Amino acid sequence: MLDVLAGVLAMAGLAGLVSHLFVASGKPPVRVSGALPAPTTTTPRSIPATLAPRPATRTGVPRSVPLRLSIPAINVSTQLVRLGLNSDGTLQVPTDFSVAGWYALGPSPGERGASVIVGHVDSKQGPAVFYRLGELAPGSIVRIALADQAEVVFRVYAVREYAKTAFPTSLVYGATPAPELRLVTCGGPFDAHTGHYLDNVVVFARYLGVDGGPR
Amino acid sequence: MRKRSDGGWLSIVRGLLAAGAVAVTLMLAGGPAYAGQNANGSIYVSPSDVPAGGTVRISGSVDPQECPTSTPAIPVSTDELFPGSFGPATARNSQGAFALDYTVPTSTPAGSYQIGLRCGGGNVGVTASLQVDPIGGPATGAGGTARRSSLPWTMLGASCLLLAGVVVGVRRRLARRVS
Repeated sequence: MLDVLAGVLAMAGLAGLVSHLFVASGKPPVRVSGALPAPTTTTPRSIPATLAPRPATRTGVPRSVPLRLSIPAINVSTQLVRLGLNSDGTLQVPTDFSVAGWYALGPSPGERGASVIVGHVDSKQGPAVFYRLGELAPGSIVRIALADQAEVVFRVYAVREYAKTAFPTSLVYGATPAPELRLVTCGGPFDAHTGHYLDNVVVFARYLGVDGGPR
Repeated sequence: MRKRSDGGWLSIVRGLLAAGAVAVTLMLAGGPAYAGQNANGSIYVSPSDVPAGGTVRISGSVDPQECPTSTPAIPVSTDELFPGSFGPATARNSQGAFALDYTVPTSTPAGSYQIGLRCGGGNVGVTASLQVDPIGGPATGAGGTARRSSLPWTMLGASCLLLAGVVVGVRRRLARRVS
């Protein structure tokens, strides 16, 4: 009788110890990649005529509401909703976990500056629209259909993961000399107490041009 | 602001130089217009974007001939950026230059703000723009696919193994007594 008890306990113990090997593997890993430009936040002290020349600007497109986003590399094709701010000054997120949203107080995709699009990585039920965002790598193509253009096309140049407590707002929202795109979702460890992830995954992309003509 | 007093060559040359500087700047910079200048003065904001609650440096100058250096420079914008619409009045040096560090109120909504410049009751006519960013990173996940901690199961497993050891020990002691 005691032999059986000891055996059962030993088996249960071993099962418990190796349980972490069998826990669901969770989100796909984020592969941080690509290079970001060096920060340029120095205070101009000389007269503007002596400022160093900046890279030539790439002409974008006039402001237009983005309607759809597609990222073929990770099988994303979604409509876009408009996002503003929460009362605490943080960015709103889509209420629908299956669609992404555009930060409408910033530039529209293809306008000069950084246009920001966010989507959930998961809901309580499972994967959401940007579940595989962290799989993107430099070179991946992102297409956005605008209300008055066929499609603006961007190419990914970097993928990064940042702690939310050290979110690089200037790098994400800050001015850029040419049109750029930022795709943002959640990542890193999940804090079950607050119900939030601790990190954000940010994909940086540059404007390539317009695909097709005006509709 | 005082009216321009000298209509001489110096003023014309200075005006041309300033206009040229602006033109060169527009050609070279090409970036967002977060700095502005004209013949009367200039204003810069750095960095050009910051989340609410962050600090920016506002600097520039007003021509001493336009506004005496004893008069402070005052940045102006909307109520949301500068409560009362006026920023801090800041002393200027002998060349008319000024610089101040300004903390954007946490209540300032994200968006783009134009910052103008006043001196001695007159508008200098220059503007710089400041973009106020959303605070922090967005909350874009509910945890449905998060890796759950296996610590409780590991602890349970360790306890079971310990208990199994105790049971084996007890069994051996009992067996020894019987024999």
